[in-house]
Amino acid sequence: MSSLRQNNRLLYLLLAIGLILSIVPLPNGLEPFRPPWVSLVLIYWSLEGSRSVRLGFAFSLGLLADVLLASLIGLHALQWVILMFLVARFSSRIRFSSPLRQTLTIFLLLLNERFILLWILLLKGEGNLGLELWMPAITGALVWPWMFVLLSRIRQPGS
Amino acid sequence: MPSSIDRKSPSLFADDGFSSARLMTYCLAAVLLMALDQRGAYNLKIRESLATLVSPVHMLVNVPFEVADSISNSFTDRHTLRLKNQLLEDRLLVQQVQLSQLAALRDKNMRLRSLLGARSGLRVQTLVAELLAVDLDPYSHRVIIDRGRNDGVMAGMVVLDAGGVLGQVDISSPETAEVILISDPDHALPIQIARTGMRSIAFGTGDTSILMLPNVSINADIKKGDLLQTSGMGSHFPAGYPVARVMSVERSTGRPFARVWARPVAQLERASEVLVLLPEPPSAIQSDTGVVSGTPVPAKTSQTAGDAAAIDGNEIQ
Repeated sequence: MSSLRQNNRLLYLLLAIGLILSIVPLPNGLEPFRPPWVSLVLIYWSLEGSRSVRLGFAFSLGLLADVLLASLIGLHALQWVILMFLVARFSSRIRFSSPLRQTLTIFLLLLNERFILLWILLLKGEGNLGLELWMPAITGALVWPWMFVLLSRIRQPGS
Repeated sequence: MPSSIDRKSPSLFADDGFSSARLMTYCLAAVLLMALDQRGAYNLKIRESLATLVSPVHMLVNVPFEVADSISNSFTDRHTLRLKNQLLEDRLLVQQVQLSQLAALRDKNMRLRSLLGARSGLRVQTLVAELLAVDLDPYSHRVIIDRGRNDGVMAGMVVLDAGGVLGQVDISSPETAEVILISDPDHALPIQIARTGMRSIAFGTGDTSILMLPNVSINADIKKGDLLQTSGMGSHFPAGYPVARVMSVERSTGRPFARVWARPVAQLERASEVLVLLPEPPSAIQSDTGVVSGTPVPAKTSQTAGDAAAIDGNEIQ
């Protein structure tokens, strides 16, 4: 039980780092390439943690992120609830597929997240939608394998 | 870690029907929240308390950048400093000359106004603020400044940079405030063409370099290069501050309105220091002293006249 609590503490720490990383300013021109850190942490935890991240938790975290990022309240909540649902639904398949396939699946999941964003932005009447809308899905998928290895090392220093 | 450890709370996804129902509920809740937020249905108090909650995080993220800035400042060599100083002095000289002209013009304006019996121009206080080094959602068109309610910054106040109007304070928390940029698609700004005085409304497009004027009639006198300034209609923005320059005017026959595109004169993407306009309380205007009484005066304020020029505040209106 204590290790479970420790695990949870690690999750909160990772999410806090993820949230901070999503508002830390990047050099001019690099902003569109910012990987979706919190989504990646959530996916990792849903796949490798002791249990899937609950939808309610993803929802509240999303609301927090919306306030922090000053986005439309409910946007990140929607994205992450759907993300966590999909990951939990297909977790066994994702977990046991080859690294390449896994990365590809993560890419599709992140792409799905961007589609949700696109839908909301179109409803909102945003006029400036270029290629950079899709960049976070690509950089996120590129970051994923490294993050997977790093986080696995952190969680199980022995292996 | 085997999943059987956690017996008290079994996996949410043991039962498919249950989980889809929960998914739908959460999705509906999220969409509802977004719709409410978009329509501005939230009580300002709720938004402000939420902003107050996260404002320390914004300031925390800003700290390392501020430190790095001060370090790089203290290591600047003498030569660079001297050059910069020279440059600033030159600029000051030029602007002082322009200011003295403006002061004369203002006096004349006041005299004419008093002849007409019109109300003299509003005096406005300004407050220098810096943008926090924080990247918000790129699609929310907002920035955070390092002055908040404690400095007298309130929702609805106008924010300018050296070029012109940048945006408007949307939410103010005690130490910071959230500014909505004029490029937000939700933002509309009453403007006036400086050359002809024609009034219209400039809408944000989501692109930080383009504003749109959708309701200019097809035979209106407007052309490329015209300066748009705030018209003062709607009483949110004081009149006379530069907003944008017309980029192109598209007149197609068969449509009642011309499509006018304009480029903001403020540096929406690169601004780092901004001015917040603090409207003077009515009592102070009536007392005609030029000094605000009754309300605490923020540290970095300076008196300016309503016409965008910083004219020294001792002159009686």
